[in-house]
Amino acid sequence: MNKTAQAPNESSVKNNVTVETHDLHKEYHIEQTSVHVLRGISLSIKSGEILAILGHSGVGKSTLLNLLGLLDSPTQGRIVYHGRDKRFQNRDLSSLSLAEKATARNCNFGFVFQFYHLLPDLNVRENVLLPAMIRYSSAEFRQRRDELENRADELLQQVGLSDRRSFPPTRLSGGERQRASIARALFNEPEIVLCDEPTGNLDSRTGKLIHKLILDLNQRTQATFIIVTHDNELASLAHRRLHMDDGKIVQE
Amino acid sequence: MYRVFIALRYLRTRTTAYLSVVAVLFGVATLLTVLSIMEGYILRLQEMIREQEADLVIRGPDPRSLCGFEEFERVLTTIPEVRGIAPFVRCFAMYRSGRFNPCFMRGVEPETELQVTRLGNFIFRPEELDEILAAAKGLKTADAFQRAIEDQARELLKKPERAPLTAEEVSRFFSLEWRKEVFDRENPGFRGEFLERGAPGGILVGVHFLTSRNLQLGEVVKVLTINPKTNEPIDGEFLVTGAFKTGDYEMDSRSFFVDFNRLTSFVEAFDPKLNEVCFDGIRIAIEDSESVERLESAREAIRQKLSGLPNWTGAHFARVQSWQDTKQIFIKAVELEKWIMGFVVSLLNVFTSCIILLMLVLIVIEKTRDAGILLAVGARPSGVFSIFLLTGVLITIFGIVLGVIVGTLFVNSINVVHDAIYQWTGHRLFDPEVYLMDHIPVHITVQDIFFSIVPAILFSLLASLIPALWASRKDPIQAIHYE
Repeated sequence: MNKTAQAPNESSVKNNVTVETHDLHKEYHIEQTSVHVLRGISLSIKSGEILAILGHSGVGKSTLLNLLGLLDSPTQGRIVYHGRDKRFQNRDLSSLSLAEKATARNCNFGFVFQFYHLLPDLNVRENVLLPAMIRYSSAEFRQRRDELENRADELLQQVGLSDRRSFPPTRLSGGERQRASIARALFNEPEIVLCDEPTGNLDSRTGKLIHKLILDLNQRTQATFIIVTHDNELASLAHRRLHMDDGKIVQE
Repeated sequence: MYRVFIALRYLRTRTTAYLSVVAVLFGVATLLTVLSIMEGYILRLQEMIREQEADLVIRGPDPRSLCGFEEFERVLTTIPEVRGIAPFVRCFAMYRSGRFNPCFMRGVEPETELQVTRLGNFIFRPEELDEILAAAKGLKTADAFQRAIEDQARELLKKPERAPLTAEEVSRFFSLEWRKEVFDRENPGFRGEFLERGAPGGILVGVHFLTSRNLQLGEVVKVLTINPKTNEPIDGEFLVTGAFKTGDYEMDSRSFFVDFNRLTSFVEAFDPKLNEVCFDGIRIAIEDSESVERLESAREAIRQKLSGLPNWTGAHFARVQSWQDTKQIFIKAVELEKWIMGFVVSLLNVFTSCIILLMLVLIVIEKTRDAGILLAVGARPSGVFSIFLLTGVLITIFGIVLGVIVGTLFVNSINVVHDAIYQWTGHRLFDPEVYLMDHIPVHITVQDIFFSIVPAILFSLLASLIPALWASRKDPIQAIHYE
């Protein structure tokens, strides 16, 4: 694997919009104080693009990512989905039921966190298989076991962890854990992968490996990557960069 | 798929989970043991009652209130269901052996009694009694002596090839010839004085008298009772000619069997006005007595026949009781006690469920981030709920399975354990003086297994619900960032 990432290939970006937000607001009430974190975010995200969201701490980047990933609900505004999954096409994702949101997260979104967040009681391969375990019933999983395990092995090979598949996450380095979490995020072939500071906890050398991997996977899977980062090098590799300040997009 | 998988992983790596399994095991095994002992106790009680009681009994309202057995015999033998009848007389008395002690004297006719009860099963032949006494010969301590006699007696009665005594064999114990032989053999210093002492009547005593009441084979026992009609005291002498063991501690430690004629004579049951002997009741054996319908039809037929007897026989005031009637209230009380004890012991499961609750709370705290990750990867809150509920349920299932196995093994070897404790400490946990039986009776039923595991399931489910609900209601973002 090369240590230096290449510039993104524009050919992966399609013209169709996969998700768009309209006037998103998010307000938190902590005790008797109201904190207005997002103040009217409207944006369109194209299928296959890498979108970097930049800004200082506390400007609302992670909150926006959580709203896009349906982990949280906006106080106001809409998140409209235009992707492949017909169940949710042209629907406001923020108004889905809890069960529908869970299904959408499982099938259409992948998450990569700064601290990897692998389940310590499962080995690497089982962590990668987790989205499939959630997606399929026991009978379906047993029926498709070979196919799913092959896919897990294939993904582990793509992220360079073939020889670590039976390791518990605690025995992996930070970079390896992040690669395992990327493999997990991609397992159900999501249209959108949400990365919350994916290199924030890694040294620069390992971070570059992750940059390369993201670009590589973006090319290969055509998935949209929305990356919240402070890492300018990673941001420079994105197709598009959004700068946020005080809950608003200030520069694109 | 993932729910059971992750729940099992949570259990596999946690020592507290194993402790919770042990707690459930303990609760289930204890409850199963208690219910099985109580069930065994009830069954053994019924068995003992069945062995000693006839199918039906005619009882007069007062002692010696039925007179003229031939009159009863004439009408009762015409009933097709009646297989045999035997008169009996009983009296409460005091016997002297050093000091006065209470006893029940039971007068029976061996020829007829053996047709209606299983008395022949419980009486020892003379050579068997010699064998029992030989086993205890030379033992110095009272405890060792008593244990040796009881163990030997129990072993003898258990032998499958042992045939019950015939009426002739039982009658021999009361015969003049045997009484004289026993007296002369056991009292060598007074040889030949048997007749001079009035040829005392033979009595069969419970084995317990030989072990703890200081009675001996061949001993002449002074007995004192009261004539219920005149309230005058009556005293007489009887000779210990044999022994029996029914397994009913009360019977074995309080009763003497005496020949019917000898006892009626002793208690002055002859009514000179009627020129008849009076007695307490009649035991009746019925064909196919296990059939409730047949028993009831026989009872009705007997009632009708009794109503046709002359007034002087006392039959008009007599009651006809089945063996259940006489002991039903006692058995019901023991059954009630079984369920009360079961309920109290089932409260152990509250303690067990507290352990499960605490363990699951710890797991939920430890796994808060896992819950957030699972929700982010697409698990529904109900899925997270199921994982933690299943963790509790799996603990309960493992605990129940092991509890039933351990409980069953313990119940089946409880007498071995009890004897070992007795030999070690010298204290009987199951005292036959209290529980009427010389060993702990046990019987495991499917129903008792069911009632042992239901409280464990209910309490454990309740204990698992709270942490599971707590985990499923966590906010995914806060959970993911939980430190």
